[in-house]
Amino acid sequence: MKKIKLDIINILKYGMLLVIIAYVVILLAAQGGDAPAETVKNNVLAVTDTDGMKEADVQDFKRYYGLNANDYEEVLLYLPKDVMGVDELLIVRVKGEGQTEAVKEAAEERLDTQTESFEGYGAEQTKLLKSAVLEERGSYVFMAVGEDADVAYAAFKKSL
Amino acid sequence: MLFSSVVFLFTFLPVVLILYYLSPRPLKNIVVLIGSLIFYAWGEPVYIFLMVFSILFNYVSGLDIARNLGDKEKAWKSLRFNIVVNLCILGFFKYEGFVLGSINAVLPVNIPYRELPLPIGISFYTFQILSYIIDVYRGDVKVQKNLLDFAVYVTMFPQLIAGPIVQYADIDRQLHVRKETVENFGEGVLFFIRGLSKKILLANAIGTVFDHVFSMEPAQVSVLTAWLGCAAYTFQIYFDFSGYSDMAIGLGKMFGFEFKRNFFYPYVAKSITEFWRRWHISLSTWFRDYVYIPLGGNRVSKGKHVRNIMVVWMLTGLWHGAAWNFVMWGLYYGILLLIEKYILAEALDKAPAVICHLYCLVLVMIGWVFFFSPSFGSAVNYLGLMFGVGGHGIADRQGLYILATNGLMWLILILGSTPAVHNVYEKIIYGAKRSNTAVNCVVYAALFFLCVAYLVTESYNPFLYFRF
Repeated sequence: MKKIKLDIINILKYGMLLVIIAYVVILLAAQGGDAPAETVKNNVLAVTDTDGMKEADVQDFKRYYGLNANDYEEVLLYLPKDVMGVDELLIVRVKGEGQTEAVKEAAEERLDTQTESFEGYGAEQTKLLKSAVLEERGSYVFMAVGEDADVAYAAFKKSL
Repeated sequence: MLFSSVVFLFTFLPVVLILYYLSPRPLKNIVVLIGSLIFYAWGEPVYIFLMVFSILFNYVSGLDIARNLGDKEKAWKSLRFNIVVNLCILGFFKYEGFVLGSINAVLPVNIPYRELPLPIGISFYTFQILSYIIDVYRGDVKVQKNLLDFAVYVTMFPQLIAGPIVQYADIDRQLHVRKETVENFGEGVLFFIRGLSKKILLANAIGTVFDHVFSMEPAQVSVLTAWLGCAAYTFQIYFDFSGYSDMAIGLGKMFGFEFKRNFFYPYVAKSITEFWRRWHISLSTWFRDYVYIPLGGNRVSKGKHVRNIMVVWMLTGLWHGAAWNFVMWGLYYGILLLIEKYILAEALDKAPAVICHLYCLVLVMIGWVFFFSPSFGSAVNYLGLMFGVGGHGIADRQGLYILATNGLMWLILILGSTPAVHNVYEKIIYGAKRSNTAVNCVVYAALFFLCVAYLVTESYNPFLYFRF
């Protein structure tokens, strides 16, 4: 009897470890989410207040990020409406994994430029820029600046 | 979920409290557990599974260690396995990017990696679990055979996300035998409101001064401004973190639990050694009990003692964050503690109190620069500004403006960092011949309403220690 009990404890222990490993693998795999760009866009825009922003076009993407929208699967960019605003939203679906780094670097550069512009006089804007969300998930790169950046990011993750 | 949020104060907490007090004794822990899981899932719906799996693994692991206690080697193997698994989980989520990024930077390799977001509170609950597992191995506590009680210990929402780190031995009995009283509940409410006020009225307010200074162009920052920015952060982190601890202790009391004090006016310390006896006490105690003493503590040769101190403080730094500035912050304190122990001990004993206070405060403030800076390089640059390198002179209008416009706030923060305000208040309320309960209620109610008024209008402002 005693021996069976010992085995059960060990089975449960190693079993739980396997469950944890499987869970982490699933998390990593889920990170590579491949939901349709339309779904992701709609879900993020549904929770984002775009009042202070305007939808940007291919030229804006080139001007502010130095990238060609045509090189990517899908690009959604919202820029601040006025010069004192910093609210911004960028969702890029890359065609291949090699593009992810380039988009992230461009987004980082954009954040740095904006931070430099507001440093010194725009404390609130600088704070928002410093708490911007910039993440990659699977074939997507996501960037959001604004008070609701975390909410938008949560909606983005949920969509994948 | 944040303690300092409207949804917590007006929905979550009242509902859980009502259910808790309406439930019969056997169901009370279930209410706490379900409440805690909802509390965690509110912000981390994905990582709740990690916590649940971790609870199950460690519960069984504890049983395994306990049944092998008669065979030390088997028990040791089981303990070792458990510690490795727990540290691997923590390491993967918290340090993967830091380790691989550092390797890629130093070696001519480019190891690809993907970082997962950090599960909130993982550093706190992993350390709590380890305290239980190690204590079971040492025979200091009995193994917890009740899965529900063990799950409550790990998940308890008052201290789940940002501590204090409650050691299992301190709460073992309370998990199944505790008494809720009106006095304790009332005291809990006072603790909670005090903590909430520290966070909302003091930490968040002075935090705006720090944000302002930190966002300034370095070339426009004078020595005075840099020191004021650092002072603002010094107060912000104290009132933010000790406020959270007070709220956690208060909530614990409301549910019949007693948590140990996590802060004891650290800024009145007269040495760095004393400072660390007063700051984040539960973390220092954890490292003392589970790392420093097992390594031999100070009952070893001088060389080994130096090693022990440096190991503990490097780990303390790393615990706070996976970045080199946190490692430097930890080593900085390790070196200071060794200097105090072997060189300055006598001088500090003889020096006037005011000199000791100043010495301690200045060193603590310098330490915070490593803490608030996003990188080691940025910390060095800010320290340069504090000591007049590449800044805007010794004092300028900006610095004087920050000093003058927040004059009353600085005074409140300084007084609030000492026991004076609390002691005088207690004397007035409890020392009088006639009970001043009504006055006490009015004061705390006013503080609460003031906090709520700020909460409604303020933007999202999480606790600084959430990121650890």
